[in-house]
Amino acid sequence: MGAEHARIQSGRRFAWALVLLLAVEFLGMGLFAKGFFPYKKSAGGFAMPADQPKDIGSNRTQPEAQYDRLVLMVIDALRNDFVFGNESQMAYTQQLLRTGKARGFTARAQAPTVTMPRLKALMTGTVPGFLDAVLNIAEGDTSSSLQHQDSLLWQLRENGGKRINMFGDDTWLRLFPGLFANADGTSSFFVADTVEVDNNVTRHVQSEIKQGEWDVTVLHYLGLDHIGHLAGPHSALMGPKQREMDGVVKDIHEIVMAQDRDRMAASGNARPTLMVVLGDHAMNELGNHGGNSQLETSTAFVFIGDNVNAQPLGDNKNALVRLLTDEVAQSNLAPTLALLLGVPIPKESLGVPLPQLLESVPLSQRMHMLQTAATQIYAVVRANEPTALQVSLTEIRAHPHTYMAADCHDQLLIGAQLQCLYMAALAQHSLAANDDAERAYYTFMNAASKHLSQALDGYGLEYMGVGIALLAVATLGLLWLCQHNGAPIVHTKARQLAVSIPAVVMWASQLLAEQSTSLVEEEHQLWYFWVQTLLALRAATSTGTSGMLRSLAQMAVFRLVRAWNQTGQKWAGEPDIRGMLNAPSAAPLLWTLVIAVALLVNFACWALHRHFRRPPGWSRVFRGLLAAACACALAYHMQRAHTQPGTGPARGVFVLTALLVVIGCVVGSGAKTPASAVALDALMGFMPLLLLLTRPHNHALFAFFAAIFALFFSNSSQPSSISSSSTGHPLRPSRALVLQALAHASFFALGNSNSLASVDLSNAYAGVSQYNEVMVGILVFISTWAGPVWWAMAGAALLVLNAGPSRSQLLLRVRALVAGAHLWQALVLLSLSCVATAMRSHLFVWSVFSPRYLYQIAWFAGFYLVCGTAIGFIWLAATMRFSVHSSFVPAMHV
Amino acid sequence: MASNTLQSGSSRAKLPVHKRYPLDLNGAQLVLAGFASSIALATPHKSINLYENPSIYLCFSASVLFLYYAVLVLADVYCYKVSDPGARRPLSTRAKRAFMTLLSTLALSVVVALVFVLFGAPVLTQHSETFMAAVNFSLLAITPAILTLKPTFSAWRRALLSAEQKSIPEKWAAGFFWCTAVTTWASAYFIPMDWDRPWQRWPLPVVGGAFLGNLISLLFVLIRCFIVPVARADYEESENEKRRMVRELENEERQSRPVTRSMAKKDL
Repeated sequence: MGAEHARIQSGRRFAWALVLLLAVEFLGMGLFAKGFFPYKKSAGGFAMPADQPKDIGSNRTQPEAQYDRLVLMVIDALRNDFVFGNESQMAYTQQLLRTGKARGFTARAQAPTVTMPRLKALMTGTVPGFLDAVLNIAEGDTSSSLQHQDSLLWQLRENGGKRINMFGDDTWLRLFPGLFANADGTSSFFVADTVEVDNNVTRHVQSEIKQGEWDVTVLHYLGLDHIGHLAGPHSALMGPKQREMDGVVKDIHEIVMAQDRDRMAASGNARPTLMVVLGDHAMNELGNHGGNSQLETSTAFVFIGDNVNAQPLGDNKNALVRLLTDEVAQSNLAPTLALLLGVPIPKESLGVPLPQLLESVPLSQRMHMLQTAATQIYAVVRANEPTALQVSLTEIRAHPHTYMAADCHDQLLIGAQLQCLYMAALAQHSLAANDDAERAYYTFMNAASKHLSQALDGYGLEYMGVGIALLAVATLGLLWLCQHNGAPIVHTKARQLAVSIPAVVMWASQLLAEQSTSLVEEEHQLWYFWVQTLLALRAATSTGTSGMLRSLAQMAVFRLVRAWNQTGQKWAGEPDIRGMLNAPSAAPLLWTLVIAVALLVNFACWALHRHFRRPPGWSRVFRGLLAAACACALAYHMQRAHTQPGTGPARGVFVLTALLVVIGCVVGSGAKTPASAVALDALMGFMPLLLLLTRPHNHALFAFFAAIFALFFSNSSQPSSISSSSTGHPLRPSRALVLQALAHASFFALGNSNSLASVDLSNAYAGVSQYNEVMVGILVFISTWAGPVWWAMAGAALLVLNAGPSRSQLLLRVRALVAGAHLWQALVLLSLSCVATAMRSHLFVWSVFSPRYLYQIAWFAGFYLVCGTAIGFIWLAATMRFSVHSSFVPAMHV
Repeated sequence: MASNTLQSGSSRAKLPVHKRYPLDLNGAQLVLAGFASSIALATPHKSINLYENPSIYLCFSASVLFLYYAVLVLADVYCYKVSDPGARRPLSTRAKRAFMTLLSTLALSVVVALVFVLFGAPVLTQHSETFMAAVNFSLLAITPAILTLKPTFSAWRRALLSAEQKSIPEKWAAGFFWCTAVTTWASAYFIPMDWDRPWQRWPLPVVGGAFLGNLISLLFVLIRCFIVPVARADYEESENEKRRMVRELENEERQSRPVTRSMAKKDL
């Protein structure tokens, strides 16, 4: 009894130490994230007409507004080729471009390519912070609004006196609370709906634009983005949606032209209306967005108006294709529109007004506009670069030639260099308002804009430092915990590593790979490579032929798994099995596979129950529920393939899954039930939920996972240990290591990547009728981490299966695995934090390390902490109370 | 032991270790191997371009490598096979052996190509590239084992995977296999890098890794199979010599001046 007591004592100590260390790690991660994802603090203040500079040249008149009214038609995820490409269905818009009534550009968006940061960039001309990508999802958040930051809409309302209406995505309402005279918001996160969401916008065209009173109308259409999320850019729904959007463009353009004729006839001062059709971000070939790839960042700008003065592109079939490469920055929109509508440029804008759109303005006025823009951007330069000094216009007017002659590239400091360029442009302008001066202005503004949009600052370095220190403490603590709790890293007596060579090499190489941007983007390749390496080593070092053949078979199955979903950046568009299955002609095959997997789940359950000799009555109930749950999941997917699914089937799956897990874990575990049977029942009970939340083409992957899992077992069921190598060969990787690699690899095998673009929102609304952050968050997590969750449950089953009858042995093994897994996570988190700190001034911090860090937070907090520790502990406690313990009692009586 | 074998020295097996595997000949062979691999990597003609037509290029390099092995086999000097004039095989046997080496290398290349595919090589495209990369890899990593090991599963397993004490041919085979295989494995890390270099295309990094690994293994094998044994043999011999001299000295002293043990020690 004394030994028992001591064991409980040490177990309690272990648990407390673990909880404490994880709390420290969590705190460290939180502090680091607070410093690393700062709110982009705006300096505050708004640009005012009184602050605008006087013309340095001879022109004494204020520049006039070129347009009176503005229609801003945002089509979410409008990629450039949806308008300019040869497959585009937007015939009317293309016709406008061909006849020179409209001007098109490819607008380059910056990562993160999700709606809210993009709208901020468009309206303020700034580069919004990465945190906006996260806040984009949190609909209740109001801290990210633009109430206190200068924006184009604020300028239009306050300084332009415009009446602004908004119809469409309610992100606008969150960004500009109280700014719109008339607004009707639609929720942007109900992805499954592609029709209603746009009809709700279009119905305002007749009532509000035609009859209503307005100066600026913002329309934001979401349907095209939803189609992308659901079925990708080549979906059958895409053509009709483009035609629908084109129809809206046509309607509005005709209404506006008619109104302009009337207005200009009524008043000589009236100016025409400018219409801008644009995408906030684009989409990749899978229809997702968020990342930094070429396709996701290529959006379309189309300016339609009387004064755009475009060169007619002609009727040549490929005439529009050159617009695909005519690139401008997205942030250029705000200053361009501000100048064209005659309001001050938003104070913090980094954009450069588009020269093509200012062409119609008379030269002297245009020069004044450019001076205004240059002065505004120079103010931003001065706020960021202490080496850029105050510039005196009288001084420049007095000695223009001195400043013109200066060689600005001699300046070492970027601030001084930009100051020099700015002064040279002003000097040139003060002499004559000519093309040279215009070129000088653009030279300055382009250089300044390029520099400013790359200057990333605002990190809370002190938070990051404290966070890293806490993470280091937690890592050391976990190292100590591992060393003293069943998983020693070093044999102190023999003075050698206790961890196997493959484990050390794998962990070291993965930690090193975190330092390289391309290996972070292609992390799936590394995990695939390592799974195959570990399996190959197992094949080579197995004692018998059957072991070798089983490992080779696992490799073959896994090769198929990795061909299923092409992910990452470099080979993202390569053909894969998903693409084959989603082709319309392959639909029968796809649905055959889906049904086969559902049947397989039921068959496997039956076979397991037979194998473990479960009570037949109970087994019948369990299998009946399982079949019903699978049928619900199938019904959901079949419904979704054609229309928007109802909430019924999905909710059925939720209820049935809960029932199954309860029945499987608690009711089913009688005195004679082996713990492994309970563990496998829980896995079976979870399957319908996983099937519900993954896309149909991925269902077959679970069958392959099951095959790989089953191949770990030989027919001769000799008890072999999971965490130590059974043959004793130094190169033989343990099953636990292979399972870890498989769990990570399965994350990517389901089509995920380290880019935000691959987060699949289409299944996040299964069974949800209203947006609910917690529910949707959980569903997104399970649907994204479905593979790792499957492997965690299967691994737990394997752990219990191989534990043998000894409870203390099982506990020790659990401790060793938990401590080891958390040590691994802490190491990754620490190395990632260090590399993110070291690379913080590079641009790819946003495109690579920030999303990777977000994923790492989810891996740590969501997967290893919640799924791993919590579910694992509860589950093991349940299984042990009911089965291991009870199997012990008779033994002790004997 | 060394003195024993020195005296009854007609059979090769009883020669001291460094006489059995003379350093100069095998060193020359390793240098030759280095030459062969550099010739294999040289571009003989503009049309054989690694970037534009990798499979033809790799075909060429594979033939150069095979030629090198064929010459060694025909001369009957591969690895440790120092000529006992009496044991020299007839030319026809050697030719047959060279041919068999070619055949088994090609057969194993198919297996290697399958392993490449399992590790992620393209399945549907670039078949000839994958196969030619596998042939090059086999020639560099596996052919030494084909030439030195018995063609049985257990012999290969023992030589390549076991941690037991190994003979020199086994060390030779394992050295070439593991150095080349590990370097080739590690070179795959270059493929996903976003440097966009022409040599990052499949299968060039892997082939480069195999050749680099071969150079490493030449050095490794030289040290492990020749320098270390010879040094050890020399060391043992000199130790034996020393011991013999001490023994002789003691004998002399004991014969000339039979005094107490402590005195003799003091003298020494």
